Amino acid sequence: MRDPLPEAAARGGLAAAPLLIGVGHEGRRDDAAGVRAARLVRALLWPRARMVECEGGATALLEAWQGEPAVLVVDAMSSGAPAGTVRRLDASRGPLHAGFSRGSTHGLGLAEAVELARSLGQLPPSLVIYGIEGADFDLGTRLSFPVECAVREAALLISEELLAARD
Amino acid sequence: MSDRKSRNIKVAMLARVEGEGGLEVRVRNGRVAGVKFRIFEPPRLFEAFLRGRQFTEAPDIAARICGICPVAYQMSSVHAMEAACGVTVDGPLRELRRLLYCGEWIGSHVLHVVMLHAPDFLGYESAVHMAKDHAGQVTNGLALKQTGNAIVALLGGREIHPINVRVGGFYRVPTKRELRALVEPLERAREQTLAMLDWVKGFEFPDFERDYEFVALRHPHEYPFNEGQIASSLGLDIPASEYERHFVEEHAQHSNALQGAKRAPAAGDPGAVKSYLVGPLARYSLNFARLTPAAQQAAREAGLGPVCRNPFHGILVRSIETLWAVEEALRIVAAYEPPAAPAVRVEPRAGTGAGATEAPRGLLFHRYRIEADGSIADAKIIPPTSQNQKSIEEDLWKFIEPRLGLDDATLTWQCEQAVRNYDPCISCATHFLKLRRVEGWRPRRC
Repeated sequence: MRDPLPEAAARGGLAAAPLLIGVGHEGRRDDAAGVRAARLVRALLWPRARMVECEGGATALLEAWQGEPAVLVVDAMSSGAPAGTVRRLDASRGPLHAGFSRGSTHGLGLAEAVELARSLGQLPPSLVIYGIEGADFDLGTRLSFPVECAVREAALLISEELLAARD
Repeated sequence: MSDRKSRNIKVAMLARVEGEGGLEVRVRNGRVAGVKFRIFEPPRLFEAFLRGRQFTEAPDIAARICGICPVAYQMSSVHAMEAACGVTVDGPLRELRRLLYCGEWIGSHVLHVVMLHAPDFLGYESAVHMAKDHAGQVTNGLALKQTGNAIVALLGGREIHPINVRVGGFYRVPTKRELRALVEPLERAREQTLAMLDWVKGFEFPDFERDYEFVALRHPHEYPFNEGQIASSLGLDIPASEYERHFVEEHAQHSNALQGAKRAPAAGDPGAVKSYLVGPLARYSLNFARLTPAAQQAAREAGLGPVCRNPFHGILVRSIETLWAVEEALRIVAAYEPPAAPAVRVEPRAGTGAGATEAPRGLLFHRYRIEADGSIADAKIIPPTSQNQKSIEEDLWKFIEPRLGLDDATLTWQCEQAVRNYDPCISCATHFLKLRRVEGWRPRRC
């Protein structure tokens, strides 16, 4: 009889796939979009995806991706695009816009983490950012409707990208 | 140089502080006519959230007030609750609480020294800009902060908003082996702290001193974390339970955070109050003799005496306190013997308890009244930034006037730097609830 629960690696694991970092604050409504999308990816690819959550402080992000060759970050953004817009950015090509700084402690958010890592030579060789445009960053736990939909869209896109990097 | 007699300096949103605040300075006829440290972050109502909850829930709810100093909120709340219930926690559990606090001090102080305040002294807009020219120091600081985070993660269950603290102790205590794993990073941290100190002591510091009334905990034998009398440089020496007899909170129209003040009754004005200072300078100046010999030596080599009245030297004092916290952590780890149980039993009883501990930014006071069933009837939380608001404004009054000849950009920069001396945590400060009672009002039924 075959092992009913084979090890992840035996099923074509994602050990070599990028580390997924879900960024956001769950008490600030749409700011939680990144964390919610990452959790959805983890559920879809259970138990193979490597995922960590982070509230978005620059130093915590630098620690989270230290030594990782490939990282995929998903975070809420506030760029002026229509709510629910999902964007994919290659951080190795240039600075992120300030829309990725909002809601972070001391104004040191994802955008600053990327630039800090670039200055210190600690930028992962591959760093892809998925941004989900938020609409409402007030206190609360419920996502706005367009962002709730966008979380699912982003989770599917990220899952496809992680699966494409399978061993 | 500017020769304008009247001008307004306005910083709409202060950068490199936690939370949302601004600054306004009015100058008329060559004199400072008004200073407002504006806090416009909305009130966060934590004291109201606590009412009706069980006394055991306070450490976890209060920890959510701040992502930088959650341990401080946990420590002040558990000590207040234990005081209310007549319980004292000592031995290895007390030592583990001190170790947890070491982790938070290291993380918080290094974040401020390297990432938030150093750019002011070196003329950079931010740590990101500074990192291009000072990559070694920033990398050193990040590694040091990581060691502080590792302590909090080990004892608290996670780095931010730890979940392992409870009234009476912890849910789980570490093994000796787990603690021993901290020795190597802490030994490295000692060297990293000395390197950070070497760097910051070369900064240029404005020549500015004030005659503060320092207020901090003072313990007979220890540099203070969780225990001791509340002492001041003018002779105050009281237990935490008497805090509210000597200190008040006032509402200023321009601030969403109540401003702390010390009662200073005078003839003809029995309600008079005055500013006071909490935080690293106060702690250091009231407790210099309780620092380790290495920390005292490092302070002297940095040009500090046993009392420090220049708020711009706060960056030096935080570095000294970081060194002390690393050494204290090593001491605790070396002497650790696991306790028989991870917590002592705490039974609720009707009563009131107060607790004051030393958050990285200064004295953090909690007072709770609990019912016999353990539910919280009333809560009062007074964070250090609330207490320092008056002092921040008075610093600016005195600092600006001799510098009015500076151009707007330079003066604005120096004013922001003067505010950042305090590492203000605005998110912590905006905790209050102002209740407006409307007589005769009844809720509508659905």
